[in-house]
Amino acid sequence: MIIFNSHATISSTTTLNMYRTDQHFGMESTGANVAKMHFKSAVNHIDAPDFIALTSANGDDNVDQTNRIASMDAMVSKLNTVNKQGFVVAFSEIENVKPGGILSIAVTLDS
Amino acid sequence: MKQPYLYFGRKGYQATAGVVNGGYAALTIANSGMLPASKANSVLSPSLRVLIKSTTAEDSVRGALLTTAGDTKLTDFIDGSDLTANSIAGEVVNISSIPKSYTIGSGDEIVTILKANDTSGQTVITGDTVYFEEMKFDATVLPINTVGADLAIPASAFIAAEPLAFTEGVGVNAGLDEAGNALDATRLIFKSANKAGAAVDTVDLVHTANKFKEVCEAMQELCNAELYDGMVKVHYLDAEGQNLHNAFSGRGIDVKRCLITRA
Repeated sequence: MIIFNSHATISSTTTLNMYRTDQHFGMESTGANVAKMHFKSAVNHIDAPDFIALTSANGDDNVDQTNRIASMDAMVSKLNTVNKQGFVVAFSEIENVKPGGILSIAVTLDS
Repeated sequence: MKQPYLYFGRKGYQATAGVVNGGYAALTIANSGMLPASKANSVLSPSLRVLIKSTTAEDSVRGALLTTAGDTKLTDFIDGSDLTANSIAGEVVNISSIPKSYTIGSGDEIVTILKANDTSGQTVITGDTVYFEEMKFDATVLPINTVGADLAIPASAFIAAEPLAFTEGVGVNAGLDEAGNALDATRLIFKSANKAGAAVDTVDLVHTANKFKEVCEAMQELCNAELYDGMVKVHYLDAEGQNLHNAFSGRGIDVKRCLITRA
């Protein structure tokens, strides 16, 4: 299990989300300083995932590429972390867990 | 479950028949794996390389600037021999080394190579082969950071590999690169990174010929890699050029095109 906490205050459906690491479909670049993770949607649709957008520091094109790859590398490490005593915190505003140079995340739920 | 993640970055390539008037069909993701940005004839495109391979001897096909001593004089791209206004079968010219020799149309990815009467151009015949190839990560060839630019996928999503026909090019150069090396293609098929349903994502590699079995071996090796704290970088371009995992290069596999198609 893996946890994404995007906000300092847990107040709505996209502020703290848990997913199964074995239902992570993949990642890709989607913007200059953004890579996205795709998980099986929380509403169990087969035709669209939930997204976790990973935003890193913005630079020139080459810096952006390096940062996006670093953010995806960090998430691979989290996805492969085994913690049978609890969940794995991939990113947390509350706990200030921000691996791989990721500055912020945003969760988009399929509906 | 611990598992490796495979990272692929896009690389564009196309070999096509010469167009006498110099206006080529639009390069698309589907036909070449790249979208070159517009370029005037006053600047270079740092990433896109355009080569012309002559098939037969033709008189007066090269503009004066290509063959006259000076900054714009070119030599054969393969063997470095001098060029004249007349072509010889097998000669290869890197027309993209001179800004004025070609343009890329605004918004439509159409490459236009000037003709000999434009002094820095080369007139071709339909039997010549023209090679468009993306050489490094640069915003002059897109996409670099939007869907289709790259893909990181868990090894457990790998479904299958299958050979594809590759016959791009013309006549004696069909299926060959600019240096005459034979090429083949392989499709790698994955469960979609975007859907839980029946859709698949594909990574089509154009690579050294007769290496399908070696590509399968490389995939078997990479899917069993014990790298868990970062992605296995299989193939991508950066500012310095191409990066290809040793599982491929160590098996004598060069990759000319890496076309990512998302569901």
